[in-house]
Amino acid sequence: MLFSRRRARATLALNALADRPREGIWSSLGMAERASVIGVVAVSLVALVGPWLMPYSPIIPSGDPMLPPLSEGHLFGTDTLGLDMGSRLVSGLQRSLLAAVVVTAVAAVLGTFIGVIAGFRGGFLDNALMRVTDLFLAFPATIIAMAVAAALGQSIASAMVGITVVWWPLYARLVRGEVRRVAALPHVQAARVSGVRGWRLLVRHVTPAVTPTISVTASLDIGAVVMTLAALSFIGLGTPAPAPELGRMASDGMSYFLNAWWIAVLPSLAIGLVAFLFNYSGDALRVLLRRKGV
Amino acid sequence: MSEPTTVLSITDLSVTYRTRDRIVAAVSDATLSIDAGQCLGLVGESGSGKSTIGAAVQGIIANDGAATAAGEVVIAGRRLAPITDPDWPQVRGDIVTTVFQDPMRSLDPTMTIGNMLTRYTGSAQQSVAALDRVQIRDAAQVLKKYPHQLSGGMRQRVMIALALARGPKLLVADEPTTALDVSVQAEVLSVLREAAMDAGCAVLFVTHDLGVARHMCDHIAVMHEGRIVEQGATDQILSHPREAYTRRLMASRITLASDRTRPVGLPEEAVMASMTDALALRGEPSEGVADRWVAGTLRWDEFIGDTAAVGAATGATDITLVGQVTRPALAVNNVHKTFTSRAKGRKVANHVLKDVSFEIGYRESVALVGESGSGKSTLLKIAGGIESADEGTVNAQGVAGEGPQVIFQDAGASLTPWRTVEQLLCERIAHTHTGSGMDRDQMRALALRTLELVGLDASALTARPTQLSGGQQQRVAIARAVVVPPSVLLCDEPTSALDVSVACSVLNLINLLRHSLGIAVMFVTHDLAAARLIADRVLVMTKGEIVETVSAERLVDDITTPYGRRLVDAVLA
Repeated sequence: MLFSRRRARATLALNALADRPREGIWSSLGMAERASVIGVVAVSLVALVGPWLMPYSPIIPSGDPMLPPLSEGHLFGTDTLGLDMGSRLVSGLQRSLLAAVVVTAVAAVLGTFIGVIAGFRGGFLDNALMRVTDLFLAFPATIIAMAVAAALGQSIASAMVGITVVWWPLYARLVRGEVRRVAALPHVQAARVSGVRGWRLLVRHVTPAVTPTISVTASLDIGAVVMTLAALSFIGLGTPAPAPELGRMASDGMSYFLNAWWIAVLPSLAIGLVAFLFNYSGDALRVLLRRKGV
Repeated sequence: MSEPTTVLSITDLSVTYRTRDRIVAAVSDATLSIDAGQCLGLVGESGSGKSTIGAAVQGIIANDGAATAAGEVVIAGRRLAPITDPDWPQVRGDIVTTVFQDPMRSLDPTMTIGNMLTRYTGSAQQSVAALDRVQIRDAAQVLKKYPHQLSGGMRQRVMIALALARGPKLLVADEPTTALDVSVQAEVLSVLREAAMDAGCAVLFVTHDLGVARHMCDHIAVMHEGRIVEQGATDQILSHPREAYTRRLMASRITLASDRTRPVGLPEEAVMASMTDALALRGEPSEGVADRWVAGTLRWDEFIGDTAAVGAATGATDITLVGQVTRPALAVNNVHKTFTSRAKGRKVANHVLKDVSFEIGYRESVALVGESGSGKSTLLKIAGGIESADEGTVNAQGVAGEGPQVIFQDAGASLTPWRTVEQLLCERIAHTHTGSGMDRDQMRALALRTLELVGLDASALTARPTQLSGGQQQRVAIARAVVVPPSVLLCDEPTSALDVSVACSVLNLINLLRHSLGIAVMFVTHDLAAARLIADRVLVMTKGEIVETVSAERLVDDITTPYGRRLVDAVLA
């Protein structure tokens, strides 16, 4: 894990450390943060193994249509086609979460790469890269994502590409600013004076200070990406039916809202829950990374 | 004669702070009292608990689990601890007021001085009188101004006037002059003392500086690790200190009369170990260093080594110079530097360095003094290659091809927090010894030898900078700079952020290294006493020009420029 190296270091005989026992990471978190971490782990577990444990297939009808929640054999009810809602929710969660993690990771890596180069090199390259970034930021994100997704055809992959295209500039901007800030700090100047140059300086003395910001932002973003993906699916640009995807399910369920509210409400709640949990756990991550003293 | 009234009496006060990681006893069993019209100096280094006592006296230590106070604090008849007086927040301002270190942060930037003062004095006339008492001459003008329009010294006077305007029984002065330019410190101190004595209030004067306390206070309480180790009348404490800690604190004070040719302060393990090594390396008797230090017979010039010994001490293999070297270690020729900024759409050129030239010879040490904004730090950055000069040349190539190295004021900030000390040192070794076939183990051995040279041990190798104390961080920074001896060691106020005793040992260390390794030093500072100790020559800078060069030996007599004289007076005061 990220923190094990720090905890496993040898006890030092330095006076400064003599009376500084470290308690676990867990104890430094507040109740809400702890709950969110447990929540994120639980949701991820459900998304990861849930689909294989569910009794019904998410795309083959398994009961009467529109069974309400708490029906016998169908805890979350069934939808208009008689598909088990529980199975569909779990599969949809897997699909949405996986897509969101991939989109966030790709956007973060791409944006970080561009931001680091722009911030560290400066000059013409910085200007050029930042103007491109501005270009992407100047248009409304959702509209571009819709356009890209629509142009690529209706599939989850094209929705993911669409969102990635509008998401990386945020990271590029953020990282560039951070890199410029850190590069002006005394310890980077000092490292430069002592002969550390180029990529070594960047990797050893600059980027470690930027990674907490990126990871916190990314973890906060997973929730937002889940929402955006759901929005694209909702307007028919994501996963085609009948494959389960939370946004799509909410959208389809809207037509039957008055007869069978749970078809739209349950996936919406799932989307909200995921966004909420990832937001809070982002805060937890921030607390942990702050302890690293960066 | 009326009986003196006790304003503040603290009995067996203990304060503990509880953090997530540990419980800290900030103050243990402190007992002290101050009478009306008296000034008590609470002297100690950082972490000694002096500010905690300052906070306890104001009744702002909440017994809420994060802080626990035990014992008794009675102020003007009110008990503040252990039971907090319920009316206290309402009456506090009439009984205790505080002058903080940084007046800019404690004065309301949106109010004029007049508005602030008149709230307490009642009328503009009274406000003028209040400013008169702190010796502000054009009081009527100052009343119309905002804090940012005043100089640091004036702001602190206003702060004092505000603190006294409510007629408090006790004035807490928490390092009131530490943030001010040295040349105005003395005036502000005398203003504070006179105004407080006139008002007849008791003063709790919190400071790290024994010299300041001597001028200010009737009584002194010396704090160390949360305990008051010694207290009594100022004269008695200073002339007959009983405690070893007080003696060390006093010995660590550097003045313009300190002996330049010998180590200052009391013997210190860390520096002595490397002294012994240095002497042993050149085959001289290395026993009894401590005794000779105390007796005053240990001289810096004993450590001037030949280069073979230097090579052996540092493991540097590429040092070939022997004997006299005529080339300067640092040559700065006609350097100009201008910063342009935009203010209200117009470009404003700030000519920071105007045609600066000087040289530092092999083994020579030069101090650069000047007030804030004189360009001395920019000059150091240009010499160190951190900034580039607009015009002119800087040659800092050492004889062995090594460049300059820089020691920064804030050592903690100059060490990358997530790198271990070993990584930081080895990086620099690797840079110089690329291609010389030095392997990982040899580098680590050299890093360790250098750490020992600066008074640290092997346990520091695996430490990260955040796990070290301020003094240890500065030692690591020095170790990184000298692990491969540089052509010139550029020091940017390396001691001004450190406690006196730590500063003292860092000065000794720099002196030892410069003599034993033959490194040239450029020392940028405000502190003339420190400059005199380290340097052979002192350069005085004003407004981007070097206006005066004085030999350190005859500094006090020879310095003539107004700023130089002010600095001398500041140290003498």
